[in-house]
Amino acid sequence: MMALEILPGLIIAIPFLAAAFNRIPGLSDYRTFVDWISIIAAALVATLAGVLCFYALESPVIHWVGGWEPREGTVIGITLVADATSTGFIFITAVLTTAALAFIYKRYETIGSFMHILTLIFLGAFSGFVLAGDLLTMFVFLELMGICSYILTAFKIRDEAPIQAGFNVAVVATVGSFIFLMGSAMMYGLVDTPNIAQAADRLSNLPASPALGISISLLITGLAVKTALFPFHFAHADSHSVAPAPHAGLFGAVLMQAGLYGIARLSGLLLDVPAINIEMFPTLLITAGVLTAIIGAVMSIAQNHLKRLLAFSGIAHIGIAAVGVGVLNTNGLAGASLYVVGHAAVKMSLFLIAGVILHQFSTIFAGKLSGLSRKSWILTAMLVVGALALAGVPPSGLYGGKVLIEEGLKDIGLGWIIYILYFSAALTGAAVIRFTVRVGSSTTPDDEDPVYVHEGSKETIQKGGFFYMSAIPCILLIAGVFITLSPQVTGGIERAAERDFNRSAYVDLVIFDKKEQFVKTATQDFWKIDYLAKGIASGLFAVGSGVIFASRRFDTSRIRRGPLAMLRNLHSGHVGDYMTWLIFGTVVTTGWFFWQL
Amino acid sequence: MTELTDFLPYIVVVWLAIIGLYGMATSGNLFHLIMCLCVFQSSIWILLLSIGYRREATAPIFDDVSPEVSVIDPVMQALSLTDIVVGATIVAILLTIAIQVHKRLGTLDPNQLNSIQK
Repeated sequence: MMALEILPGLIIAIPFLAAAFNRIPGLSDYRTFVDWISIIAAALVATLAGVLCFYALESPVIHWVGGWEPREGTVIGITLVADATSTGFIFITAVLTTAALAFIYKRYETIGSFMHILTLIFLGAFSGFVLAGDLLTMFVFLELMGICSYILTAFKIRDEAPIQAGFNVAVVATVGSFIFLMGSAMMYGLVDTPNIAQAADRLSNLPASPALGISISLLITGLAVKTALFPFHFAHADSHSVAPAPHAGLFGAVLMQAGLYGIARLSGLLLDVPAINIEMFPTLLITAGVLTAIIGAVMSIAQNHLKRLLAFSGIAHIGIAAVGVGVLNTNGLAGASLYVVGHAAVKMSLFLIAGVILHQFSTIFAGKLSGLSRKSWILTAMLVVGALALAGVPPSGLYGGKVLIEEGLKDIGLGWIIYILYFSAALTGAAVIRFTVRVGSSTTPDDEDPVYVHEGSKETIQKGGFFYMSAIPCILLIAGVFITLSPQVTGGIERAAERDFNRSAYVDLVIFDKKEQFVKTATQDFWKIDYLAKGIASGLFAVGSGVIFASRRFDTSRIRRGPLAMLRNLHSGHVGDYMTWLIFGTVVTTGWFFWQL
Repeated sequence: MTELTDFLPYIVVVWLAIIGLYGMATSGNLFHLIMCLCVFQSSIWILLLSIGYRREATAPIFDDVSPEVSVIDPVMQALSLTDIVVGATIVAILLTIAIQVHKRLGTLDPNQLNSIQK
C-alpha cells in the first residue's frame, strides 16, 4: 500500500520536473529532447493516474504531504485525496496533454521549449487542483493553471487578436481566482481550517450567518468564473478561439471542466449542512447551466470561424454538464462525469482537426476555405462524426451522459429540462455540420469576413506530417464515440459518483481514515428505446438544420438585426464589458444566497 | 472602541474591492486597469491579514518565546505572501501584453481594440 500512497505526489511532481528538465542549458535547444521528455512525462502521468484510478475505485488513497497525518480528529497537514473521480479526471487530462504534445511535435518548428513547459505546468497544476484536499492548495493550483492558460492564449504575441483575448481572459479569470480566495479566507475564518473535509465536519454545528452565506457564494462564484458559466463565459470564448489549436482543445476539454469539478466537490461537501438551505442551490446552478447551454449553442451556429465555433460549442456543453452537477444527486453527478469524459475526447479531436486544416490550408475561416471534401475526405468525415457525437447520437459519451442527467433531472421533478439540453447539443452539432457543408462545396464562397481572428505566422510551421497529425484526433474521436458501450467505464463512473461526492464518506475517509463499503447499485440501462430515439432525433435535427443554415438564404452569420445580432454584440471583446458582467454575476449569486439563507 | 477597530479592516476590504472592480469595469487605459487589479488584490491581502490577526499576540516565530504564548495565525500570513507572488506574476503577464498591445496598435484604450468582433 505504501507504494500507492506516494503516487498522488508523484503525479503532481513529474510534470514540474519534466518542465524543469526542458530548461537545461544546451539541451533545451535540441527539439527532439524537449519533445520526448514532455511526451514521456505526460504519458507517465496518464499511466500512474490510470493505475491509481483502478485501485481508488475499490478504496480511495489519501496522501498526507510530509507525513503530517491528522491527530485526534484534527487535520494539521496538507492532504491529496486520490479517489476514482479525481484520478480518472487526471487520467483523461494527461491523455489529452500527451495528444497535444504529440501534435505540437509535428505542427510547429521553431517554437523553442516554452510551449512544452507551459503545457507540462498546466498538467501538473491541473493534477494538483483536482487532488487538493484543502481550499488554499486548490487556490494556488487553480491560479497556476490559469496563468499557463493566459500565456498560452497570448502565445502568438505578434498578432492582435491573441494579445487582446489574452489580456481579457487574464483579467477576468484572475479576478475569479481572487474571488475564490476571498471565499476560502472567510471560510477559514469561520471554521479555523482550510481542509475541506474538516470544514464540512465543523460546518454541521455552525449557525447560519451572513459571513457563511457570503463565503459560500464567493467560493461558488469564483469557480463559476473559471467554469465559464453565463455571465462569465465571454473572455473564455475569446481565449479558446485564438489559443494554438492543441491548447484551445485542452481549454475546451478540461480547463473549464476543472472549475465545474470544484463546484461539484464543494457543493457536495460544504452546502449540505443545516445552516444552509440546500434546496436553493440546484435552482441557481441549473438556471446558469441552461442559460449557458442556450447562449453557447446559438453563438456557435452563428460562427464562420471553426475555432471560435468550437469555443462556443464548448461553452454550451459545459452548461449541460453544469445542469448535471446542479441536480446534486448520484445520477446527475455521474451523468456530468460521463458527459465531461465523452465531450473531452470529442472536443479535443475537433480542435486538433481544426489545427490540421489550418496546417494544410492556412485558414479555418469558412469564407476563405473551399472544397474541403474534395481535398480531404478524411477530415470531412471526421468533422461529420464529431458533429454527430456532439449532438448526442448514441453511443457517444455525450449520449450516455445525457441519459444519466435525464434520470437525475427526473428524480428532482425537472425532467422537461432535458429537452432544452438536447436542443442545445443538437445546435452545436448543427454548427459543425454547417461549417463542413459550407467549406465542402466547390463553389467559391464570398470573401466577406465578419468574424476576423488573426492566425499565427506561417514561418514557424513544419511542412508535411498530415497523416501523423490526423491520426491523433481520429483515435480520440473513436474513443469519445464508443465510450458508452463499455460497461466498465459507465459502471465505474456511476460508482465513483456515488462514493466520491458523499459527504459523510469523504469526511470519514480524510479525517478518521475509515473506508465505507459501498454496495454496487443497479447500473443505468443506456439502451432503452426512448433514450435512443431522443439521441437519434437530435442527430437528425443537427444534420437537417446544419444543412439548412449553410444555405445562403438562412445564413445565420449574415443576420444583422434582431435578437441574434444583439447577442453577438454582447460578445464585444471589451474587457470593461466583461468585468461588468462579472460584477453583475457576483452580485446576483451573492444576493441569491442571502435571500435564501 | 475595540469593536470599531475590529470591524474597520473589513470596511476597508469592501471599499478597496468595490473601487478596484469599478475601476476595472470602467477603465479607459490598460495600465490604469492593471493598477485597479492591484487595488482589488490589496483588498484580499487586508482580508487575509485581518482574519489571521489575534489581539495581544506576537509573531509566530518560536525561536525566543515559549510555545504557550499566543501567536498570530501563520497560515493567513503565508497565504498573503503566496498571493503577493501570484499577483506579481499576473501583473507581469498583463504588463507584457499591454506593452505588446501598444506596440502593435499604438493605443492602450480598450475601446479601440477591435480585433475580436462578435
